[in-house]
Amino acid sequence: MNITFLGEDNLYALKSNLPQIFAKFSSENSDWITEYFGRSPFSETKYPLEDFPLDMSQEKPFLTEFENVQRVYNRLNFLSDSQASDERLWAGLCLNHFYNYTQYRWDIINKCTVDNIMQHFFFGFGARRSLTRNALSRLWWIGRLTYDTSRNDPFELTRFVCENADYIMHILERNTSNNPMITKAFLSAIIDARKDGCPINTDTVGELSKYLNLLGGTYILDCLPEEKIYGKIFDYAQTITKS
Amino acid sequence: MDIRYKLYPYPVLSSYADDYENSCFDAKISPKRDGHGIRFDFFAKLVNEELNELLEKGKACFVYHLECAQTGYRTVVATGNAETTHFVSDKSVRGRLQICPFIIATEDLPAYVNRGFHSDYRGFKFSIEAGCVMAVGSQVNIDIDNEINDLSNTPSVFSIIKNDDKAAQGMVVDMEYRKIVIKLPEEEFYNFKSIRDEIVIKPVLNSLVVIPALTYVLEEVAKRDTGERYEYSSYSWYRAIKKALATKFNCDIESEQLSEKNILELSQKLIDTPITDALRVLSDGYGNISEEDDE
Repeated sequence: MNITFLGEDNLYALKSNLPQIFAKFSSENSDWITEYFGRSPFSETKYPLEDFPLDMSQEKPFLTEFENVQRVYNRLNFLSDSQASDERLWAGLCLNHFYNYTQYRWDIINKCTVDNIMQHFFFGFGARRSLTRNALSRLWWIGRLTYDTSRNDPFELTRFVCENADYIMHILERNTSNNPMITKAFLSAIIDARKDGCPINTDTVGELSKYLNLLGGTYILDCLPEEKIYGKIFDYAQTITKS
Repeated sequence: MDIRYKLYPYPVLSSYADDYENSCFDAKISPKRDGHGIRFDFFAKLVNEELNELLEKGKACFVYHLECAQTGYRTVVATGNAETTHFVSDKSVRGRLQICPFIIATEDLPAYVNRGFHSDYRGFKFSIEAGCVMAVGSQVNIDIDNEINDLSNTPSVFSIIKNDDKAAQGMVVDMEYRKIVIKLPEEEFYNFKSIRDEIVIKPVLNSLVVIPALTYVLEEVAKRDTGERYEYSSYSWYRAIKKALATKFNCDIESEQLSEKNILELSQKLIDTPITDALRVLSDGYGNISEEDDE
C-alpha cells in the first residue's frame, strides 16, 4: 500500500466541525469517517508504506514511545522535513492506519474532548509545537531530531528523551532543537553528566534548557563549536546538581 | 529566530539602538526561485572602520541565521565577504523562512574598542567572546510556496465545506486556515455540491458564494493596521490575494491603498466579475439549457 493523506478540504471539514462531531472519535474504528463524507476522504501519495503495527502493549501508553519512535522513523525516514510538517499527512495517518493507536496513546475514549482530539489527531497548536503533539508526527519528529548516526546506537539520544514526556517538551519544543548540532551537544552533555554522577531529573533538564536559551541570547549558538556548547552545558549541570 | 530589540552588556551596532555613532549595518536579501529550491543573494552593507578591519582579519564574520519554524530548518551562513549566495531546498522549508543578519566575533576579543562607540562608552574596553553578536541587521521574512514538493496540488484558495452546526444559517467564513474556508449549512452544501462541477453554473456560484466571502475577507484585512496585515502571510490565501492585487491592480495589500479601494468592486474584479455571466445564464434559463444539453 501507499501512504495516504487527508485531502485539504476534508481536513478543514473535520477540524472546523469538531465541536459538533467530536464524540465520533471515540468510535471503535474509523469507518464513520467514510460514512461522514459519503466516500473515502483519503488520497494516496506515491510513497509505498508497508503495513506495520505500533506497540500498544503497555498499561501506561508513554512507555511505548521509544519503541514506536523507532518503528515510525525507521520506516518513514525518507520523508523530507517539508513533507513531514504537512498536517494532511499526519492527520491522514492518525485517522486511517493508526486510528486505534492514536486513541490508545492519548486516551481518546476517556478524554474525548475537542481539545484532546484537535491536538493529537490534527495540528492543534502553532506550526512547530504541533509537530511534537500530533500522535504520529510526534513519533517521527522525535526520531528526526535525536537520531545520530555517529553513535554506536543511533537511537541513544532518542532513548534518553523518551524517558520522560517532560524531556520531550523541554528539549524538543524549543527552537534551539532545530539545529541538530545544538541538540546533540546538549543531550550528550546531559547524558555524560549523569554518567559522571549528576542526578538528572525533569527539574534539572528544565533548568539546563533555560540555560541553553539564555546562552542563545548572548551567542549565535549555531556558530559555536559543538564542544563549546557541550562544555557549557556539562559544567552547568555539575554546578546546579552538586551545589 | 526573531530579532528582538534586546540589550547587550557591551555596545552592539544596530538600527534600534544608539550604541554606535556614524555607523550602520544592514543586508539586502534577494530570494530567487531556482528549480526545486530558492537561491538567496546576500549583500551586506557595513559602515564602521574597526568592524571592517575585524572582518578583513577574519576576527569577525557576517552571519545570516535562517530558520523555518514549521519544519525546524535552522542553519547559518557565515562568510567574511560582503556578498554571498545560499541555496535552500524545497525539501527543507515550508511556509515562512526567517532570515536574520548579524556580525559576530569569530575569536575572543579581550579588549574591544571602537571609535564609533557612543560617547557614553568612550574610554571603555569590552571583552567579547567568540560567537557573540557585534552587529544586528534587519530581519527578513520570506513566505515560501513550495507546491512542487507538495503531496497534492490544490490551486483554489477557497475550501467550501458543510457546516455541521444545525443552528447555523447562511454562510460562515473562516480565515484561520491555509485556504479561505466557506461553511454552508447542510442543505445548502449538498445543493451546492450537486451543481459545482457544471461549468456553465460556475459564475452563478461564484457570485452567490465566493464574492461575498472574498469581500468579507478583504474587509477584515483592510480593518487591520497595515503593519499587522503581514501576520496573515503564513496563509496561502493571503499570499495569493497579495500577489493578484499587486500584479493585476498595482495595489499593495500592506499599504493604505487597500483601505482606499472599493472592496466590493475589487473582490468582483479579482474573480473576473462573474455577475455578468451569472445573470446571462439565469436569464437564458439555466434549466432549459440543461434540458437541451441532455438531449
